[in-house]
Amino acid sequence: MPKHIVRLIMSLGIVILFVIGAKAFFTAESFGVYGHYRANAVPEIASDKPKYRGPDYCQLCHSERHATWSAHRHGKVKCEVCHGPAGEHPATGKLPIPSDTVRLCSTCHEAMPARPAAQPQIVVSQHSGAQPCIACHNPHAPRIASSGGSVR
Amino acid sequence: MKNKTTKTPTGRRVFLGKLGKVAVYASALLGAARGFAKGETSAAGSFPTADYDWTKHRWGYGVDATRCIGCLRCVEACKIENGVSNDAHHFRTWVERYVYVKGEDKPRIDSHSDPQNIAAAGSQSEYRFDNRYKDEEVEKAFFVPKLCNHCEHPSCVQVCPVGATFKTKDGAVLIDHTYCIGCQYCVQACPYGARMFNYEQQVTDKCTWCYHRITKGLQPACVEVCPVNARIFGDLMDPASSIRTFIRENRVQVLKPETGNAPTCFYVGIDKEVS
Repeated sequence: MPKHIVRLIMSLGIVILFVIGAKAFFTAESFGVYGHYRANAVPEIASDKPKYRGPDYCQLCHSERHATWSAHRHGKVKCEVCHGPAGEHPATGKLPIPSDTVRLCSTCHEAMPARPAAQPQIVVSQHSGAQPCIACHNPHAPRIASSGGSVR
Repeated sequence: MKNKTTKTPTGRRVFLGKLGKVAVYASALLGAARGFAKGETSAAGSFPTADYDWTKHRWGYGVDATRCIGCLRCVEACKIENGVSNDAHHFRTWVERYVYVKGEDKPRIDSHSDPQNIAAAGSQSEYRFDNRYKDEEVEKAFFVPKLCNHCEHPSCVQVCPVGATFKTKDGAVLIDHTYCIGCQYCVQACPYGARMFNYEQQVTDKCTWCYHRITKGLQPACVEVCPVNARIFGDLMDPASSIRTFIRENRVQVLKPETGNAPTCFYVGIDKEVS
């Protein structure tokens, strides 16, 4: 074979080797194990710590409150919806007890077009004057027995 | 003389032949080693965590728009759970309000990032729909929760030039933030507007179905806090799961089926204007 062809083949070989080496060097360790991505990214993402712990976690200490809440109409509204995520509570301190109940309760119960009819709704300005909701309603057992039904 | 001229090319030919053989054997060995390494990772235990095997699950998501009350607790929970930046314009999930006012052809659409809703909420880290339609004559109105559709054929994954976003074996579309170069092709490619750009980290971000929660047996944060079960999440592999029940008991649809993305978020109670 002529010399210049041999030189071409050899230099091409060197380039190919260099490219293979560079690819091995620059590609992340677990890349391509399961597909065109870094497989280790999956356990990394999965290792994040949940902040919302769910009512079962709250029940460990607040069993009495949990029993009242779960037996009444707000039983579908989980603790952390109003009190915020438990996270590492109690180690990290108290969770908030909402003070402005009119504002909090109206998030779900203010009469509004687009809210389904099944949702109990009130016109805030006509419902109770300026009284806070908790003057009459226990947020953990919101229905008032004497009213005989839901208020519209 | 004749001998010499024929001998040299033969030697080279033999050498090249041997080189070729060595290359074939070496690549076969390398391939086998790689295959073995792969087999080892799956045989060594479940992936991605010790007590969660992603081949045993196939997640699906349901949205029942007829139940949504627009309280936006899902948006708040998602932000807190996933540490999404605390302004109204970066979010992984959102809720749209569609209002058909009498005499108008098209619905008026707004979400929590609308200026009037931010004003009603008081700040960009609180979320609330204002009551702007209370004095209007409304013919029809409803809320529609939205999030990443975790498509079977995700266009965002297809366009990623570096393999930083991918579909997991259990159905979630995830982003590898250490590999993302922030080019935002995927943001453009998503037909649902489900991706956003995180300017602090210079990476793309989106809903993961709370992958860190579902791999621990928990529900995604938005599903966990929804007070009216408008959001449903479960395992499509399990016939008794909430999502399979949801699909069985309702006539479900997906958003923009014409894109061919094949979403795995299923909707009930949405209108022709919702896409």
